[in-house]
Amino acid sequence: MFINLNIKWPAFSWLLSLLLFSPLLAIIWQSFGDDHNIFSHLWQTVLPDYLLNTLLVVIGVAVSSMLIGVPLAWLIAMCQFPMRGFFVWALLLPLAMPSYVVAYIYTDLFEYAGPVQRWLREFFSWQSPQDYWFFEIRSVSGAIAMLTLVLFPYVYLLARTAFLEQSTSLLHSSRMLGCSPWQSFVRISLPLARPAISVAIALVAMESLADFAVVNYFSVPTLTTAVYDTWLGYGSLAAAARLSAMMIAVLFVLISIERLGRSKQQLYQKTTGQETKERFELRGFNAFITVLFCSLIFGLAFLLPFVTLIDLAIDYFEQSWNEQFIQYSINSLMLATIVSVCCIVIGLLLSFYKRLSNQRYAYIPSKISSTGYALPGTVLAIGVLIPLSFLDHQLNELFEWLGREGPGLILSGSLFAIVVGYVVRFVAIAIGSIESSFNKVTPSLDMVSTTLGLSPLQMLIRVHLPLVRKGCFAAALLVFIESMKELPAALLLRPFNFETLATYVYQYVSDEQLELGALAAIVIVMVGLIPLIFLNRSLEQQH
Amino acid sequence: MTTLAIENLACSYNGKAVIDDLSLTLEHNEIVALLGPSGCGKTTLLRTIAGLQNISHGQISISDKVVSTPGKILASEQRNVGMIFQDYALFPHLTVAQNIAFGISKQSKSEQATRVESMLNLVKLQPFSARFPHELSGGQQQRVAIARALAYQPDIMLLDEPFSNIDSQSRFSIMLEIRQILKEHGVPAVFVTHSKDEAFAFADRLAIFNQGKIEQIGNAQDLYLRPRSPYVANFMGKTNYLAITDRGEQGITTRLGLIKPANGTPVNQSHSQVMLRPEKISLALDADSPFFIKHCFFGGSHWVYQVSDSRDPEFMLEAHAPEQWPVDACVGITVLSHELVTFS
Repeated sequence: MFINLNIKWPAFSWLLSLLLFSPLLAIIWQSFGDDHNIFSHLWQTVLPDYLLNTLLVVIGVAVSSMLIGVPLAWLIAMCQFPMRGFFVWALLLPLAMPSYVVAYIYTDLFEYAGPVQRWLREFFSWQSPQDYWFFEIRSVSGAIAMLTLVLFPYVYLLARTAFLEQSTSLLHSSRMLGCSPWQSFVRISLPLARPAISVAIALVAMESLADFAVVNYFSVPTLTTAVYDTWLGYGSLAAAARLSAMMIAVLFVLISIERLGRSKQQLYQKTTGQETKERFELRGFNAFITVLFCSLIFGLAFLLPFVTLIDLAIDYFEQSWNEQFIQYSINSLMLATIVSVCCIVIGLLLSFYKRLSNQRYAYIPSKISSTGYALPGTVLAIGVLIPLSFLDHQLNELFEWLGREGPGLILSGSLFAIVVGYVVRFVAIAIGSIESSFNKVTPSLDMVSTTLGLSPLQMLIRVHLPLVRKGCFAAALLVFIESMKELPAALLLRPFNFETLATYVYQYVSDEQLELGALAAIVIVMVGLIPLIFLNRSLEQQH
Repeated sequence: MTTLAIENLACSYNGKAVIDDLSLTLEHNEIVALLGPSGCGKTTLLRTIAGLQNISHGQISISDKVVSTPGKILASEQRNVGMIFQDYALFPHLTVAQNIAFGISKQSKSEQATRVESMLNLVKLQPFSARFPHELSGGQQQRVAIARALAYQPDIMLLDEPFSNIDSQSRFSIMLEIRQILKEHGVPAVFVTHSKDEAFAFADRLAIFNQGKIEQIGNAQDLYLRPRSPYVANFMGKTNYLAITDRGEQGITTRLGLIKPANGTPVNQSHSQVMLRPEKISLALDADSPFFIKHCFFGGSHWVYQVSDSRDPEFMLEAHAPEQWPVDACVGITVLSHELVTFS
């Protein structure tokens, strides 16, 4: 750009982005620190098993999400069948379900004392567990099933978009060159959707790698729970950092897959616009099987857990609607609001700097500030704790040197830590949304503003802000919702006696008393539904 | 042998008639252009031939085999029809060679290789066989699309606005190249365009489309010189219309005076307008003439003049002249002797 920013803008942007990047650096730096041999002890005892479990969960969830998500996407994008219009958006709803709530509800249903096994025992007159075989839900495969139920919509969503955005003329061409509809699907549609599917699989894999709640609840030890236990159990930041660094290495691979997929996607998904899609009309048996499949997935992943929650919430309303519930709701709302505002301000500053700077490396601050989003909540928490407890230490020493009483864990032990953690984790959402709004503002507006005598700050306030307002609002909303839902980072970073709705619900899940947390869980689900409504509307407008 | 026969075709889209009682035949090795403004039904006609669209009346035959009747459509993949799309529709995940081999995958590997090789030769893209479509220019992509369709050895080629995305610098050379390839292989083609210049250069016959009907069909010269309606006349080029004030043995009289038809061709007595192309009107400086130059611009091979009448400021006439004259200069007007076209 042609505008000369004074030194304050760039300096501030770079400083800010380095602060947001520091948790990752801290983990890497700390992982080289002294851990009193805890890591090697873990490595010789349990870590190989943890690693295996982690791999099994990640691969299992990725494969089963693909097996469910891709067929659903193809049916919805390319076929016409009864209730299709309903399933288009209904199949997105499981995304709003906290995985640990789903896990709890199915455990309740399928465990030894649960209604399913009780009924089977009664029906077949079995007396003890030795009389029959029944799958154990608290297992690796159980965790895979639960995570698949809440994560398959990523695959469904991205694959559906990919199928819809394939140019009709490609399919027509394939037909004109002698391919039947099925051959066209195998030779054209599927290969063209592959980049989008691999992006989705990478996202699903990242989410299941990051999962803490389900595996912890099922007592399936993985790297995430290991990080948590190492910090809380052994109190060793260095060992936790080493484990985190291992996860970051895996994440790096997944992110590379995702990036590669995205770059190909742009090449493969190019529509000429104003095309009308003809869908295959399904009738009779085919239509029946399709509707059954869609209903089954929707029922298992959303309807059954949600109805159970509502049922519990109604039955236990008196006990659930208490001061604690209100206090924790207020905690969550307050925290989410503070975090949203911080993220928007940071997002605006960094996007504005990137737009106006004429330096070659001006894109770096917003890039490196966004890395926190890829980190699992537990890893991120460790990354935030390392620099904050270091600063606390220095502060206390300073006070002692001055001959006063130290303030204690003023940074790492207060609300400050959780706010910083959330901001680092979610600022990427704000940056992404605001940057894409900025990109839609034509650069000639900047030139007009400058030639009309506006300073950069005036331009930001009078020209850009009104134009990117919508993007800011969307970003704030998304950050708000994510903050309401976030669990693992909250478990590690919250101050003593501070609960959010998510930790509150998780507490009840761990204590096998979800009925008392059902009301709070419904609030979390409802909040999670908001972005899905927006998402679906924007998709409907595109197609 | 007729390659394509369309009889009394009607077709509707979302309850609206898009094609209405249309008939068209295509002779062996012939290229026909469907010419008309966008939204007049020409792409729909192409889609019905390709089997991508149902028809509501009439029938379509390809190589004397009925392929479309109302309610019964032979699937696209069984028609042996090649189609070139506006966006070329090259498969982005396949290389140039793989794209060309796409339709002949049932042949043996060596047959495929030979065929691909000869197609690449034909469209002069041998060095690019391992490239992906996005690495090629628009014109190169277009040639791959042609090679892919020809490798499949279609009975007929359908081209949907194939040149509209190619820059005007190279458009005509690519058009002539592709025309020659089609002619050499004896592949008849239906070509959809909204540009008369493209149709002139590419097609043997032109069918002028108007709201789902063919208004007139014939070769380019015929349509230009002998349009049967003002719609066709306007589509073919700039036209002046003059009211006929009197008719006699000699010819017709307009405000330009007496106009004599060439070779004494008869003039329809009931018609009230005569059509004059700008190049059939000759101008010369004449201080006594009531006609004067209102606007002028340089049109390339000649100057283009808008001439008005000092007695009637509403009147406007376009004429061409090799010389440059100033605006407001008075000019005399002579109509060159030619076959006259009149409309009612």
